[in-house]
Amino acid sequence: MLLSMVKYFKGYVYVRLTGYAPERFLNLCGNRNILIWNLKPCEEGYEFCISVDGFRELKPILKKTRTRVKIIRKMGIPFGIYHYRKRKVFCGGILLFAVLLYLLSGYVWNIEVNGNSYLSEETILDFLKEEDASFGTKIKNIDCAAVEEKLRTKYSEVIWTSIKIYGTKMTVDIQENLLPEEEYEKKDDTVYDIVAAKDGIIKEMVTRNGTPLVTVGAEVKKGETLVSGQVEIVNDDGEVSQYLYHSADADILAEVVYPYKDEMKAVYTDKVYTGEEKTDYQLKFFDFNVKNPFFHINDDLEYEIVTEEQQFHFTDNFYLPIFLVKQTYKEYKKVEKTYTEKEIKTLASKNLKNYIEDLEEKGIQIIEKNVMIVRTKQSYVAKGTIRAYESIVSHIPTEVSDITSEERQPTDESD
Amino acid sequence: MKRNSKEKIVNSLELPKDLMLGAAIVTVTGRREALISNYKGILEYEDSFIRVQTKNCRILISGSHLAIDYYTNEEMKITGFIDNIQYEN
Repeated sequence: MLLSMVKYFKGYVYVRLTGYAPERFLNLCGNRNILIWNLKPCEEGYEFCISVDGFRELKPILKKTRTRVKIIRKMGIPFGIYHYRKRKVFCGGILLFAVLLYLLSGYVWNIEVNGNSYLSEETILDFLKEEDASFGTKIKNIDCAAVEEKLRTKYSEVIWTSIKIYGTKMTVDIQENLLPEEEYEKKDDTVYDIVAAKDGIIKEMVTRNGTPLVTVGAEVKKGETLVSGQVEIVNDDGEVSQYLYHSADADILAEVVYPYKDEMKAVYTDKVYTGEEKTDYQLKFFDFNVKNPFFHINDDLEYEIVTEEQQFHFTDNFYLPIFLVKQTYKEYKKVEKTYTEKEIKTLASKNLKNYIEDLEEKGIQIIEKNVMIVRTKQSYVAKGTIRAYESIVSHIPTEVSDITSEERQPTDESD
Repeated sequence: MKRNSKEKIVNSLELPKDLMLGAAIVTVTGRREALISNYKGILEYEDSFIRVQTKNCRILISGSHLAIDYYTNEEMKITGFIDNIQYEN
């Protein structure tokens, strides 16, 4: 394979040898180390391939053996070049190709992001765009070290970055801090009280910091202070000598009642699909749609349209502004329907279940539910209450009395 | 007599015979390929037979569609359908 490539690059000729002593000619060639291949006998003599350099050395041998060679075919690149010497556009094309290849290889065409789990790939690509280091940027103009520095500064969760450019591909390696930073407690001096976020009856209360103002079993209204950030220091006479302030901290669980109401119309409109489906394909450049001229729908009928867009991309993440749009038209008819008793029950219980699931997702513990379905003239109403346990802690700044504000002491000493 | 003694020496010393005695090496692969090295020259070559001169004898390879793939000072490769390999004095 390699040898035939070398032969092709150096050029060779296919010749026919005729004359008095062709065998002697072959032996002489062998002796002088002239390579001959694809030797075949023919009617008058032999046909074989010989390199251009070898061919030039043949003259004395031909004279000695009184034979003659005739070139049948010339093969290889040197002859090719000679043959195409007058094709200026062809040569220009090759040159243009080389120049374009050289110029385009100076830009970033592919970006790979590795090691990101909190930050999405899009975030990083957007960041690179802002830094003018995205697709189609000249590689010369990108200062990898500076971009790395900016990436680390902008996103605090990134603890290590490495941006490399090999060829036209940019690789962004990221190491993220896998333990998310604990939200630092507010460093300002503001002291907070705990107030009720909702109406309810307190069922459990654990106070860690501050003065509790309510006890278990108390009924509280929304906005009522539960734990105060103001701590009284009482002197020997039983008088308040001073107030200390530090943020209240407590777990408070209360019984909360949620009212529930769900109204369902007895008569409703339903879509009934006829089963007729039509699919249309369109191309979209930027925001311009190229419509399929062969696609028609009946305007009198009603359709549900499902549109799927697919964006063309070069590499994994270099998206071009060309989309393939697939639209599926599903024909339907509007039909008026009335719910039966059974259907309404299933629907109502389904809605209630979803509602409760939503509450539970927020960490609310359901203890009792009491929902009834009542039929009115045109609709069914599911009505009732849901009782649940949940944390009603919410923070507001403590009012600080003027007298003691100057005497405030650091929180550490107050414990 | 002289040649015999040389042969004995080469044999006893286990020297390569192709170098010391100029013996030709014919390597036949299957029925379609033969590689001859250590030869002196081609005597005759046609489609149906090739006669090669070596130092001590001639080798006649006969068959059909015989062609020489390549041909240098050291070795040559013959392809084609080989019927017969014969040594002549």
